[in-house]
Amino acid sequence: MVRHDAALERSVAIFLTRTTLGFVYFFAGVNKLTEVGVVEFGRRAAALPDLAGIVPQAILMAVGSLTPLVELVLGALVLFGLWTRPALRCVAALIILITLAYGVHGLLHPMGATAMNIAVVNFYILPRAALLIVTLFLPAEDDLLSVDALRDGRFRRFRIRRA
Amino acid sequence: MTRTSDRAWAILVARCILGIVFFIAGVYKTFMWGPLEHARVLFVEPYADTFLPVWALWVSGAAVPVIELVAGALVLVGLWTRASLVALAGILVLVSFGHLLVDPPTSINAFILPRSALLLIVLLTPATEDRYSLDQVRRSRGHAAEAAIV
Repeated sequence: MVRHDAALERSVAIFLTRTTLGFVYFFAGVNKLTEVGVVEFGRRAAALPDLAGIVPQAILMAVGSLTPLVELVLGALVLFGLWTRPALRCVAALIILITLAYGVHGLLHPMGATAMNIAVVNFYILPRAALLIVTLFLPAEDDLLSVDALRDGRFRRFRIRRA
Repeated sequence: MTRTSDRAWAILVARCILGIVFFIAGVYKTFMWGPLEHARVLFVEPYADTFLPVWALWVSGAAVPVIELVAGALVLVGLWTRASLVALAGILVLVSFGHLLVDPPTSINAFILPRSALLLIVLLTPATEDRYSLDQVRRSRGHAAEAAIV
């Protein structure tokens, strides 16, 4: 009984971190799509002055246009807990790439003693990274309140054990 | 999709962000600012009225950018990770002391505490779980060489 309750508590903990992270990415994608739009976001990426001379316009346009869609899809997958672990790994790669991009941006436009924009690091990158790290550290088998748990029968087995 | 590789991804995220933040700071301070100018502006002048010896301020102020550069790069790629983390931890302690000596207690919240949290995540997890690192490649080669000898 105690063991099952502990498992339920862990599943609630994972649910909290996973859904918060999912909401963050999902709504980041939704906002970009509704307020800016795919094409316009791509145009803005292609017009970035720091990258315009280095990276071909077509690549910038493609990356810019895909960004809202990638955020939307990854956010939805993490939010509902479908293909959760591969989706979390994609989010991990995304966070590392974005940190690297902000790092290069910091060298081109230094802010403060550490070059990188402290507001971006502390309020954008680190909270997302913290949610992601906690979710990845918690065992996948304890993520019971997810579509993955329904699909592979984990949730049903847990309910039977509990009953 | 094992539990170990999930943990390895978590460590990778913490290690890479920590490495990037320190490496970028190191590049900026070493090559764009200069270690001596860094020491003068951030160490010697602000602490001129304290009990700290001037020579120590020059030495620590000039060393910090280079340590951040080298240790940040090593942490980023995961080579000699533990030693590099210890070096960065030393910087965090040194900078905490410096800030708290002349600034309010909350002055360490924005810069030092988030970096310390990331550093602790990597340092407190077993080194063998950091699978996506150059240290892991070195460990694997070492084991392969041992097996070949046996």
